[in-house]
Amino acid sequence: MTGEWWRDALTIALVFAAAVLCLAAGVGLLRFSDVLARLHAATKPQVLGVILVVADVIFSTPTIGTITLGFSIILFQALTAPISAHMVGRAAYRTGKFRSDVLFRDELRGRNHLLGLDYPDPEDYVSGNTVATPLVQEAPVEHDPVVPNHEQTPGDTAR
Amino acid sequence: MTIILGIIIAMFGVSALCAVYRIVRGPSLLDRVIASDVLVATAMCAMGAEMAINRHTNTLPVMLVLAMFAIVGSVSVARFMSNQAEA
Repeated sequence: MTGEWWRDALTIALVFAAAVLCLAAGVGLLRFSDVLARLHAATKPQVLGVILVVADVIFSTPTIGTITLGFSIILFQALTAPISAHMVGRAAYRTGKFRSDVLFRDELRGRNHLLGLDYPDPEDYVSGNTVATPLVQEAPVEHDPVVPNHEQTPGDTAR
Repeated sequence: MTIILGIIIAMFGVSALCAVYRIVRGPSLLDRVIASDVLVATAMCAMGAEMAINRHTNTLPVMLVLAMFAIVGSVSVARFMSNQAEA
């Protein structure tokens, strides 16, 4: 502090925005119902809050070392945060820890065997299967001629 | 100015407490991983805010190390929990 008034005002504004993002992430962690929804809430301060705060530090003491370290921090955070979010979301999908009745569309449903994976569909984990109707009506997977080795193929030969 | 600083400190503290609550009470392991990521991000933002307010750059390397190595825990847990039972 104890600079000109506009420097203090800009510092307080940037720090306040970062604090609002952190508080939103915390409240989202408490309020949301799902691993994927909590992931959606949690990735906001990891990139944008850190960018705001590091921009604030760079603006406060604009030297070469500060600018280099600040850009390194932003680079590594923007490089590693999407990777960890992607890994956590993929593990949540494959172990069925999400609510499939609140998804509008699930493009990986029934397609794990096309990727060479032996993970079953997430509906097999969920008891009380109440899946919303998909937006685009597509052919049922068990009648898909592209996949001859699907596990429901013996019912398909009768047709 | 002091009132705004108090509000900012309270917001960081409430965010960290929410993350700790989700780490303790998370129903699955992935909830705890996400909450620990939020806790690390909140700590980084709080350290940067303290640096920006007090006009020094002492803890900037700590922020760099946290930004580089916060990925290790979450990626390793998410990588090796797919072939495990409920946790």
